[in-house]
Amino acid sequence: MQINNAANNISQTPIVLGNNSSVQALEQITRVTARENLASEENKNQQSQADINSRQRLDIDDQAIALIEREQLPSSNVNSNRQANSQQNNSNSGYDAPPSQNQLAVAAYQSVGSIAQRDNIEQIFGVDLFA
Amino acid sequence: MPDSADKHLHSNTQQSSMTFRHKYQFWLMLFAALIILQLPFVSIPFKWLESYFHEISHGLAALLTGGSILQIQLFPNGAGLCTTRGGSSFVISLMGYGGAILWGCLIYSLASVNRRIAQAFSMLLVALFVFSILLWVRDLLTLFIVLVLLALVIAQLKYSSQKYLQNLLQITGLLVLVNSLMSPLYLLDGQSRGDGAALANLTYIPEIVWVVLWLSAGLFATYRLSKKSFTRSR
Repeated sequence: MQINNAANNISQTPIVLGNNSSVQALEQITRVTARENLASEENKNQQSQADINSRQRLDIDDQAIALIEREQLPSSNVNSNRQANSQQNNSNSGYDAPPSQNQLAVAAYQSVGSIAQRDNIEQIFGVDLFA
Repeated sequence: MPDSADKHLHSNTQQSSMTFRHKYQFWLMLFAALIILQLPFVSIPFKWLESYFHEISHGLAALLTGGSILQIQLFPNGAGLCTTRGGSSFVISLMGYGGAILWGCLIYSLASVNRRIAQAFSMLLVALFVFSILLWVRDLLTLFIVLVLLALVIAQLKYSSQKYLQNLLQITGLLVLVNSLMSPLYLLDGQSRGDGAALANLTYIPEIVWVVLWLSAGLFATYRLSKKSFTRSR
């Protein structure tokens, strides 16, 4: 199946129309080239916009992770203090262990009060939380 | 002759007190439920029970609308959290308080029918608790709370005689109903949290409307149960 795009039309038109219409064909080529340039520019713009969006998405992720870490920090500090009393060299090894997705979602959800922030967290983890 | 008159008077008094008890049984039980909810430690498991029915209603609504339950969490202060994926957010949000009211009515109504049905329903509750533990409870605190609730229902089944099982279940139903009547009022804290706020976000209908709707539904359910109970006693 042939895709009927602008480039195909240009390669065929001079042959079909002959010498009289060569000026018109040239004009058409110029127009099409300009259109292509415009389209590629638009593509670039869209790509850069997508990059910005993904960066923003990443920012939200970072915020959520920071929130969770902030929430977990006091409890881990308490744990490490307790451990330090009994064994000073023993660091809090459980801190870096990745918790499951649901636990993260719930922890993050509970750590923030505003509905807007909670909505963000629900979007990030892809779950719905009903209290 | 005076002996027989005394006996007759005594039996008449007994009959009238029986009639009074039957006539106003619902209101006496409701009063008992209100008193129990004011007691510091005794009220705690019943708050957990209402919280459980609230969360399981969210979950069941998710299942019925094509979603799934990921986790149910209960907290010692009577709060709860149901994590779901998919399903209709509107129905799931609406069914938290609505479902708890329905559970309260269902427990009271089925317990009122006859002893056998009360017993069968208690067993169904036991099965629901076990099922919840196996499928949706993921943390120790929730496990402990659901185990306490399970023990409560098993104790009702095992240690109360058949005669009192009905009454105990009826009071349990009313405790759930009264709790679910009062719970939506906690949403009026101006913080825009919870099911009311979720519904307000979804429908653009203010949170207060949803709170009033749940409250009205609870009051209507209480009124219907009292009417039904009064009709049955006649």
